[in-house]
Amino acid sequence: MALVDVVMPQMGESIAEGTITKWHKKVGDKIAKDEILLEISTDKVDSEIPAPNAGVLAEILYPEQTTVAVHTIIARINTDVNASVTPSAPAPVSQPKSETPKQEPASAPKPVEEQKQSSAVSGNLVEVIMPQMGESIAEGTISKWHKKVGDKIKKDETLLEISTDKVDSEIPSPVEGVLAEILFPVQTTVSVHTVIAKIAVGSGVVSSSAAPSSAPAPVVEQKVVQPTPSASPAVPAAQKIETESSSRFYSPLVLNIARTEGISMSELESISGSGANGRVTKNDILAYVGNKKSGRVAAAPAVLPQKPAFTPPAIKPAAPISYPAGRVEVIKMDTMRKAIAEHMVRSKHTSPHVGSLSEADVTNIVRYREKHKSAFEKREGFKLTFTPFFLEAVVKAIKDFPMMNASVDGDQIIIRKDINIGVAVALENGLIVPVIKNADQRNLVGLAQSINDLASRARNKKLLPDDVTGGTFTVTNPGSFGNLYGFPIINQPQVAILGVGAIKKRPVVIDDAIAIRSMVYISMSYDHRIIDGALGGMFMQKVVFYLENFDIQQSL
Amino acid sequence: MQLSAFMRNNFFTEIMATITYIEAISKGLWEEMERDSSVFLIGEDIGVFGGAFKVTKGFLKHFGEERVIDTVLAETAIIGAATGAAVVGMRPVAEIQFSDFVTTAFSQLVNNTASIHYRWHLSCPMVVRLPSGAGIHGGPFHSRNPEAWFFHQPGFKIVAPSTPYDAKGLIKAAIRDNNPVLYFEHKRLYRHIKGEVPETEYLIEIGKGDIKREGNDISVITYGSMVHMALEAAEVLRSEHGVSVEVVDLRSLMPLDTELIFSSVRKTGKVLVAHEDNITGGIGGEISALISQHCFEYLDAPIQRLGSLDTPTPYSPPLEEFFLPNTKKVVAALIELAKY
Amino acid sequence: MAKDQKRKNNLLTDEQYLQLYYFMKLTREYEESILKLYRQGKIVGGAYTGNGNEATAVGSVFALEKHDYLFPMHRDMGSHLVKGQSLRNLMLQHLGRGNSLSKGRDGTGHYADPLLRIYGNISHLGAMIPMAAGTALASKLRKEKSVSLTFIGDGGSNVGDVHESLAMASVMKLPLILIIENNQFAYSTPVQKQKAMEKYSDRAQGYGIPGFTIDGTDIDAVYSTCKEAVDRARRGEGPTLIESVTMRMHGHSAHDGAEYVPKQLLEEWKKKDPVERIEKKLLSENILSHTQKEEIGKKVMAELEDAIQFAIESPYPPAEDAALGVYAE
Repeated sequence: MALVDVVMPQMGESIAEGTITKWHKKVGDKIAKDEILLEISTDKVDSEIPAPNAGVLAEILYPEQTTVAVHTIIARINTDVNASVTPSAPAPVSQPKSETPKQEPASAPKPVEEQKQSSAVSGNLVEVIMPQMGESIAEGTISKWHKKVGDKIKKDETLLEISTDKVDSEIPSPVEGVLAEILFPVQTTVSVHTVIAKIAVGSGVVSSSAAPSSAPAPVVEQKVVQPTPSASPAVPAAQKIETESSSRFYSPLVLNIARTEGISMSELESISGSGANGRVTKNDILAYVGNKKSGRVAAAPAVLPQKPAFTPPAIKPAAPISYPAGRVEVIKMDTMRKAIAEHMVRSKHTSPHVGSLSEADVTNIVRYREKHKSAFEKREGFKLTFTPFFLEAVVKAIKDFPMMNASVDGDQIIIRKDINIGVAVALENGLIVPVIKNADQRNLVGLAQSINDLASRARNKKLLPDDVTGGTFTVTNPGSFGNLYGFPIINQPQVAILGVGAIKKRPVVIDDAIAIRSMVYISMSYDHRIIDGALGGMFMQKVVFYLENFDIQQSL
Repeated sequence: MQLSAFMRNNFFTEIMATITYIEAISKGLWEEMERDSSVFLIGEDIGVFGGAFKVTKGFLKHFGEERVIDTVLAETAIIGAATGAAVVGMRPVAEIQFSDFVTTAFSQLVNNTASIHYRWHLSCPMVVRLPSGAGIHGGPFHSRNPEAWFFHQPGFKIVAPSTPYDAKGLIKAAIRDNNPVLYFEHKRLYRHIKGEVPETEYLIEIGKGDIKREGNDISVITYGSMVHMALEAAEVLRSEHGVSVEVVDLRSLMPLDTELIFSSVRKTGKVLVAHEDNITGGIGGEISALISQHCFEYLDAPIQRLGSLDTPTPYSPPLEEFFLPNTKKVVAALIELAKY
Repeated sequence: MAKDQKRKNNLLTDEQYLQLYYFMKLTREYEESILKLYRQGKIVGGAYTGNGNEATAVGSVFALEKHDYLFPMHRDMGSHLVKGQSLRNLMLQHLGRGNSLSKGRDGTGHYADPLLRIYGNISHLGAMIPMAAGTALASKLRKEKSVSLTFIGDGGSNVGDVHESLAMASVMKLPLILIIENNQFAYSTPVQKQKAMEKYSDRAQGYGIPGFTIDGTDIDAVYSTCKEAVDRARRGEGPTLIESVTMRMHGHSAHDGAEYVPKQLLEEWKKKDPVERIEKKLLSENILSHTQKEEIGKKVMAELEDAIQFAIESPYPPAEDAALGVYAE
C-alpha cells in the first residue's frame, strides 16, 4: 500500500493560498483517479480538484472553510483499494508518514492518538542559535560539534562547544530530537543569534542510525551546509591594523603596504603626507620604505599622543621577529589567548597603573580554617579555601571606600552600587574571571559556595554568559602557586585589582617580641586617573584590618 | 582578387597601411561575407544607398540583393528576422541605422534574442551593428550610447572598439561568434580616427581588453570614444604634471576583461572609470563595484567616474559640449586623483 | 473522388480524416490532463488550453511538410503533436523536468526542437512572428522551399510586432502564413474591444496580401485554406493572413473562471465543438466506425497515461544548472 499526498495547487503565479470550500469525499470513501475530490476557492478562481490517484481517502488534514498555503498537503489517498476498511470497522486510519510499508493498516488499526501524531510530523525544526556569551560579545567560534547530522540528541545534552572572547562553553541542546542540519563547520566564527543548527522534533523524526532501509525519507532534509566559495566575500582574511587608534585616514593601499613592509601604526603616523589634507599617499609610504631600507630613516621616532589625555595612544605592534628556520615551534593563539592579549594590552594603555604592597597577619584565619575545614567539607562537599576570607575583607573595605568600585567613562567617574567581585581562575590554556554578583549580600559560606561553583564550572566550560560579566572589582591569587606577591593588571573597565600572595609562616616582631605568624602579602594595582596613593593606601589598610581582626568566634 | 573588388567599390585607390575606423568595419564585413556565404546584411538603406554612414557602400553590387537586404523601416522586424535566420543556421549582420532606434526592437532583443540559448539550447549567431555616440550635434535622438541597457540583460556579448585595428578584428570575431553580439561603433570615430591595420587576417578575441598606454600612477578604465580623450589627457598629465597614466581600453563590455582591469588597478592604486554614456546606471558603476570588491586593499584613492550628464543629449553646440565628457574633463579628473 | 484527385484539390482523404480525428482527440484529452495536473499541484505556474481551437491547431499544421517551420502559440498544443512532437516531450516541458527539451528553463510549449522545426512561443504576444519571418527569409535565401507558419490571437494581433512582420514579409514576399485565432476574448476583453473593422482578414488588404476568414471549428475549411496558403508561399508568392474564428471555451488560464463570458455564447459555441463536429461527420459518412472510435479513445488515453507517468518519474534538473548555458560555446 502507499499513501499519495494531495496538495493545495497553486492556481495562478501570484496565488499563495486557497480555501477548501467542499470535500466531495469523506475519509474511507473510494475515489477514482481524476474524480473530483474537493473544491477550492482562491483570489483568482474557484476550482474543482481531481484526485491524483485512485484509492481510498485515508486522511483529510483540513476541514472545509480552512485556508491553507499552496503546496500544503491537504489530504492523503491510500492507493491500495483493497486496503479499504469495512463499513463496520472503526474510523478509518491514517498512516503516519514514518510508517514502514510492511505494516498492514487493515489488520492493525492504529489508535486515534497516532493519527494526530502523523499530521504533527511535518518536520518541525527547532533552531539552535549562537548564544550571546556576554553583553559585548558579537560572535563566537564553533570549536567542536558533539553530534553529527542524523544523531539523536536529548534536551540539555551537549550539542557543541563554542569559544568566544570571554569564555569557552558547552552548548546544550534546547530540545530533544534529531540533529537535522549543521549550518557551520568547526572553526567557523559566526555572529551571535545566528542559526547554527536545526533539530528536528516530533514523533516521525527518524535518526539516521535507527532508520531501517524500508523507512521513508526523514522528514527533514539532512544536509550540512558548507559555506561555498562563491558565498564568501572575496575579501582577504581580516588582518588587524590598529586603525582605531589613528587620528589620520589611511587608504586601504597604504595600510596594505604598511602591513607588508612591517610598518607599525605609530611609524605610519610619523610619515608626512603629500596628499590631500596631508594624507599619506602610496608614493609617500613607498618613499619611506625605500629610505628605511637604505638606512636613511632610523627606527620609528617616538610619537607623542596628540589627543586628549584620556585617549589611549597607538598600540605599537611588536616589530617583526626573525628566527632561525626549524629552530622554533609556532603556536597559533586560540581565541581566548588572543582575547587575553588584547584585553591586557588595552588595559595597560587605558589605565596608568599604580601599585601598593601591604602585609597582613592571618594567623587567626589560618587557625579558624584549620579548626573548621573537615566539618565544612563533610557538610558542603568541597574544600574550604582561604579565598572567601579575603573576599569578605575586600567587600567590607569596598563598602568603606566606594570609589574603589568604580569605572571611568571619559571625564566621568561611575561609582557602582553593586559589588560584584571577579575572581581570576587559572585554566589549562589561559584564565577566566567569573563574577560573584552582589558579593556584599553573602556571608562567608555563601562566598565559599559561589567561588566553588564558579571555579568548577569555569574548568568544565559550563559558565554562562552572565557568569563572566558585570564585575566591579577583581581579586587574583598569585599566591596559589607559592609566590609571595604579584603585580596584577586591572581588569577593565574596573579601577583596581587586588592580588593575594602565598600565606607563609614568618618571624615577625609583635610588641618588641619575635613571634612566628602566618603572614600574607597583599598587592594592589589601581587606576591613578581616579585613585591616588592616599586612597589606595587607606583601602589596603582597611583590607588588612578586616583580615587581622577576623572574628574567630563566629560559627561557620 | 577579393581585395581588389573591395577597393574598386570603396575608398581606396591604392593599398594603404593606415585606414579609417569606418573603413576597418567595412573591410571586416567584406572579408567575412567573402569567407562565409551564410553571412548576410539586413537593415534600412544599407543596399542601394550603402548605409546612412556608407559602411556598406558597394556591398550590394558585389554581393547581390539577397545578401545585402534593404528592409522596410521596422526595427522589430529586422531584429526578429535576423534572430529567426540565425537560429536556423544563417549568420545575419543587422544594422540599426542609429543606435537610438534600437529601442523599437528592445523587446525582441532582450526578451527573445538574448535568452534563446538559455531557453532553447540553440545558438543564435547574429551581430547587431549599432552606430552610437554623441559629439556630432545629433541632438536627443541621434546621439545615444545605449550599451548599459543591454549590459544588464544576460545573453548578449557587447563590444565597443576604439581603433580601426580593433574595429576590424572585432567585427570579424563578432560574426564568427555563436552568440548575439552587439557591436557599438562610434559615429564620431568613423572618419576622425585612422590607424594601421594589417592586410593579413586577424581576429580580436571578444572579452579581451587592451592597454592602450602604460602608466604607473593612475589607471583610466574606458572604451569607445573616450579611449582617445584618455590618451590625450594622459599625455597632458605626463608633460605638465609628471604623472604616469595607464589607459585600459576594454574593447569588450560583455564579457568584461576583469583580470586586465584588476591588474592595472593593483599596479597604480588610483582609478578613473570613464565612458561617454551618462553616469548613473552606466557600465562604469558595475566596473567600480568590481574594483571595490576585488582590489579594495590596492586602492589609494576613491574610485572616480566620468561620463555625460544625467540628461538627454542636448542639441545646441554649447549645451552638447557641456553635457559630454572631453579631454579637458578627463585631465581635471586625473589631476584631482593625482592630488589626492 | 479518387484519393489522388482529392489531394490535388486540397481535399482530405478518409485516411487523413482518421489521422486528424486522432490528433484532435489527443489534443483535447492532452489539454484536459494538463488542467488536472495543474489542479493537483503537479504543474506549477500557469496552465493554458485551447479547448475549441483543436481544428485550427491540428488542421493548419496538417498542411505543412516536415521541413516547414512551425511557430505555435499557447493554445495550439495540437500543432506540436501533428508536427511530430511526442507526448512525453510535451509533458516533460509542463512538469519542468531536466530531460525536457528546454531542460526546465521554460515550461509549456516554450521550447525549440530544431529537428522537427518547432519553435515555441515566448510570452510576449507576437514576438515570434518576426522570427518566423526570419526563418522564411532564411528559407528563401537558401532556396529551401520551406514555409513558416505562425499564430496570433485576436488581442495579440494588435502588437507592433505583427504589423512590422507583415510589412516586411509582404514586401519581401516571404513564405509566411499567419493565422489569427479569433477566439472572441483576449483574456477578459471581448473582440469588439480589440478591433473596429469587420474581419481580421480585412487587414490583409493593407499589406497587399490575400486574407481569408474561416470557421475555425471546421476541419475541412481550416485544412484547405491553409493548404492553399502553404502552396502559395512555397511557390514564392508571399504571405497569407488567415482569420480562424473559434471560441475560447475555457478561461484564459486555469486560474481564470471566465465569469465575464456570457453563458449563452458558450452554449452556442458548444454546439460547434470541433472534436464532436469531426466525430459526427466521420461517423455519419462511415469513415469512422464505433469500434474505431472506441479504439482511438483507448489509444489516446493509454498514450497520455504513459506520457504522464514518464514525465512524473523523470528527474528535475540539478538546481545549479540554473547558472549554466547563458552563452553558446
